[in-house]
Amino acid sequence: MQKAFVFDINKCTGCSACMLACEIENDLPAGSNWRGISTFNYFRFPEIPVFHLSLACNHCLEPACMKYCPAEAYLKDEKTGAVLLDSKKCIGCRYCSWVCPFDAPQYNKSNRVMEKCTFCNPRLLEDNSSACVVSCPTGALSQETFKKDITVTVPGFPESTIEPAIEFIPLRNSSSIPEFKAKGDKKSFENIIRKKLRSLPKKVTFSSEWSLLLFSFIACIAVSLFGARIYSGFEFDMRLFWGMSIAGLLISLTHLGCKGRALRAILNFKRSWISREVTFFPLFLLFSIVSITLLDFSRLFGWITVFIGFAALFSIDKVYETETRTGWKKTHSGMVFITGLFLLGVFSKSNVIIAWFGFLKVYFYTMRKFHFHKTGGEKRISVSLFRLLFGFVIPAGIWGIYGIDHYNYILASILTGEFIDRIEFYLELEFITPVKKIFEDMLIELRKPKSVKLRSADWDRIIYNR
Amino acid sequence: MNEFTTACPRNCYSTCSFKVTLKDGQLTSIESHKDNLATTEGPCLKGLSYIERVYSPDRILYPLKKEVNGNFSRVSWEEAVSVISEKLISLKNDHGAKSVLYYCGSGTKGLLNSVSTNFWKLYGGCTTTYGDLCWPSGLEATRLMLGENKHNSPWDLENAGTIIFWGKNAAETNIHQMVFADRVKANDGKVIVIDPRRTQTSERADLLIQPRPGTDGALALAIANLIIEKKNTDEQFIRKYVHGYDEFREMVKKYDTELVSEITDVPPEYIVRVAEIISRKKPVTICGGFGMQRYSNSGQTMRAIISILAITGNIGKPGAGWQFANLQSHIFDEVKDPVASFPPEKESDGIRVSISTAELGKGILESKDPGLKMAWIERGNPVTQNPETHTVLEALRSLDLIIVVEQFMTDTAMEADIILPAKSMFEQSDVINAYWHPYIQLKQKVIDPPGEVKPESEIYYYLAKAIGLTDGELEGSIPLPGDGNIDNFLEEKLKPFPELSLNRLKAGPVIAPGTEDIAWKDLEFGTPSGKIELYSKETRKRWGLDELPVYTETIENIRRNSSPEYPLYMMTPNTKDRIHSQFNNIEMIKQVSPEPVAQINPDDASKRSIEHGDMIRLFNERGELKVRSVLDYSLKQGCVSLTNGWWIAQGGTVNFLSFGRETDMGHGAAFHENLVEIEKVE
Repeated sequence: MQKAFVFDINKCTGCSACMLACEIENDLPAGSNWRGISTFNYFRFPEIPVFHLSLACNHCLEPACMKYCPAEAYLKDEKTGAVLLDSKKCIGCRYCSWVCPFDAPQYNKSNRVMEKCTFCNPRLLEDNSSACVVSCPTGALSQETFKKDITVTVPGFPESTIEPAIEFIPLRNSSSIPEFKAKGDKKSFENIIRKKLRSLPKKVTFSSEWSLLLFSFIACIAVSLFGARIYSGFEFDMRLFWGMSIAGLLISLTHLGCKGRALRAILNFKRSWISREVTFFPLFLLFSIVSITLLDFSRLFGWITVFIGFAALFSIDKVYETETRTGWKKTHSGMVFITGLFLLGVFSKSNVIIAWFGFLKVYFYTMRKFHFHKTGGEKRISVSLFRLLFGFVIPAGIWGIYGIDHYNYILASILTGEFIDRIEFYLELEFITPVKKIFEDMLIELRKPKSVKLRSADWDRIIYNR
Repeated sequence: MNEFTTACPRNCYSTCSFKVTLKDGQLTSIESHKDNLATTEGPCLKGLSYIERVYSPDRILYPLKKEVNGNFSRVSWEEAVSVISEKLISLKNDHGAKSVLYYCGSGTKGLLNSVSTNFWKLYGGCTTTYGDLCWPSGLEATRLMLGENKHNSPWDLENAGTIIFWGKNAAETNIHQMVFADRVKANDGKVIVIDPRRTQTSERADLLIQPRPGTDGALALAIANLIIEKKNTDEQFIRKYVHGYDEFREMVKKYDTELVSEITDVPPEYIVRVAEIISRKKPVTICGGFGMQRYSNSGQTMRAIISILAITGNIGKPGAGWQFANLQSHIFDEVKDPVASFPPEKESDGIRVSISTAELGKGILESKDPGLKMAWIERGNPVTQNPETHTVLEALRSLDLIIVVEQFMTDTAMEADIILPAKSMFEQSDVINAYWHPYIQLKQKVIDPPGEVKPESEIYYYLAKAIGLTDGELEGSIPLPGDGNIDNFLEEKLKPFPELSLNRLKAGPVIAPGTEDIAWKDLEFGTPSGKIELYSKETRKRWGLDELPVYTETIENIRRNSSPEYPLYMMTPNTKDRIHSQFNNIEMIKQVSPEPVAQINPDDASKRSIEHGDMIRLFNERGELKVRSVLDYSLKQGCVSLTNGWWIAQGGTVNFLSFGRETDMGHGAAFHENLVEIEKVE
């Protein structure tokens, strides 16, 4: 029977007892964050209410962590609905933290694997309640058997399709704040919120994902190189191809907390794009060995190999296409599938492919940048300048002036441009978290037109019941 | 697995009943005990953090002695006891017993606390303090008006039509009260909060009134005036049970809404609205906080507030009343607070009760015949918590020897010459009362003290022996060491009450014998007139104040009007994260509250070019504090708010900026009344 948290926003005072109870029950060091409290309107702006959301894992009915975990480290206890992580199976790839909109899975730096709220499953199995529930001093947090059609849309709670097992009792009157004499400068407040939003710790950053960046870029070059060999007979140094590909694979391993369990990453081929990515790319390399050493680039087998390579690139792009992504969600010019096709053209010196995919890339790039410009996102104008200069202007210039003679310079310039774009792809990755969502929703709430002060007629009704 | 009943002895409204679990002799979980109907939900975060606090690596586990270089080193109990006892003997011979100051704070409740005073009596006396930092002016105001301090049971609050949290932030200081307040809201009752801050308690209220600090008395009188003008008084109740109404009615006529609006900076329509809600949405309970009665006019303020309930008949009924302090569980006290804390008319047992707690530093420095040579401090952290930290430090440093009984290296412990390790709540049994709910509870011993920690009763025993007292002389005053002797001592105290026994209390809390669920249901008041005294001759006689609860400006406010050098009101409220200066060194608490911050209104901040998160300096002629700023858009302009209790090493105590001054009545400390200026630290 699926259990669910019930959280009454009216009753929670944000006291943090639930957090402490969790740490005590699970013997965690202070600051472990299996359960966290986010405060709506921390700065107490007069026109919007102050309330708190105490959130842990919501033990979803369709848990994304479990669905997409490449190592099949997650399981769901049928008796309670608890979504549990087997730390012995976890490879520490952190992907579950990307796909969970509630920030439930946390990386444990000392064990180098993920950990998360267990629903206090042993307690539930004994018909007891979770420690956080038992310890709530105001009764704001409770537990029930899960029902369909419950309220899960409250400000600050990320929306999703994964059916979180939590029910919210919303504020009695969502606009209800005490009437009092205070006014705040909305503009300065909005600026503070925006500043705060920008300074929130990001889940995925360039520095934390450099290994994935290198791996995906190398994979992209390897696949397009091989593709060009099959498509147009483009000759390249085999040692470079092998060296690069194997280095890419090894670099990707450094991303894992638990490298010894790397092979587990292919277990969830059925549902996880990571499993597919890490299956297809080595498979591509294997096929390319066969193709090169045994079959001398035979055409049919070659095309099969190229197809597998592009399947790997497609899978890599898919890994980042999560429901939790925010910000720019449309096609990104730095995605490896389109880059792979573009480079295939470049290596094959196929004007048609270069023109088509080059055009597409510039189009997607400018679209995105205009979007950032409009929404106040990070524009990075000088980076854009370099990206377009190296990626398109310089190579086109060299080609225009010297023709194909200086092909190596053209290639180097294009690859530099593409590498910058790939870096930008990582810089621009954004995932929703409850903390972020709460600040975003505060801005929305602020813009809602509302009359804060009750009219005296309202007060008459309240006081005199008329 | 073993489960035990115990109770939290902190100076806190909730005084929760616990069920604690031991695994292999180690404390592993703390949950609430459901038999305490006031605290049926979970304990607060501080209660949970005992799990860490008891086993904290920072706990003092051995007697420590300060070396010449200022560092502390471990000494044996024998050495500690012999140093102290020799000093006690020589001081008594050379200067008399009164040259020793005995100071205790409110760090822990319990009947065994009486052992301390017993020791000093046996020693031949001492000098000690009167009054209290906490609540005397409110207690005295209540006593003068209603005869004694009690109120309806906590759970009765849910019967209220209107709750007014007047200067009380229950969400942080009495979180379990919020359960009942929420039920009132769910039943469409009204909640009004009166506080210059927008607090978590006010968040679900209907109305938040933000008066200028120290002007609540005027506000109360204006509300009373409106109720009288609109003929919304309970005339029958007044005629039968209220004394001095005619004088009161004449007096409040002065407190015209417009005038009071100016004094308090509360819009007139809000004052009208409060008066109307009180008149229409009965029964009304007012929960009065402690912070607002730490002002130089606060006794009269509290009396003015109680007057509102008196003239509307909101006393002695379900859902109605004045919830300030419920001393119905104080059954072991011959004389109850606040009178118990007043200086006695006649000295007894050689104990000189001559220093006002509000002016501890000054009192120590000015003591004469004999002057003070030594201090014994337990259950308290006066360096951090008493007004005027600078003076307290100067006074302590003027002494020859300071003994501090402590669990942790507090600011006061740092001043000690000898620190004696103190027990935690789990390491000795005791019986405790409360001041919100009416339960008597057993604070049960569940683990042995760690290291060489000894309970105070045992420390006193060895000290008594060392100064030459015999077991026979100690009988009835200081129990012999050993759990059995402690149990016997407690059983003896419980004897007058057949309902109470240690065995019964081991099962769970018991409502104190004689408790009235609805206080003053009989409408008999222990005042000279037998009625609620709006006009009180005793107020004039004892405190030299007006018989009626008139409003006067606070001393600091008058100063503010004449010299605007320090224009900001510094509020120093309590927080959910600590009990005064306890718990702030615990990692579990630090993750929630890592450093002291000052909340300021953005308007006040921008005038001084201060931004959110800047380091700022708060200062006045008494001292300064440097903390980080936090913008609070709903804090009343002209106020800056920072919680009290931070140690000097953690960023500093607010009492560097406070002034030692008594409240207008009750010998309380008017140290919430402080003016400061702030500036950005470059």
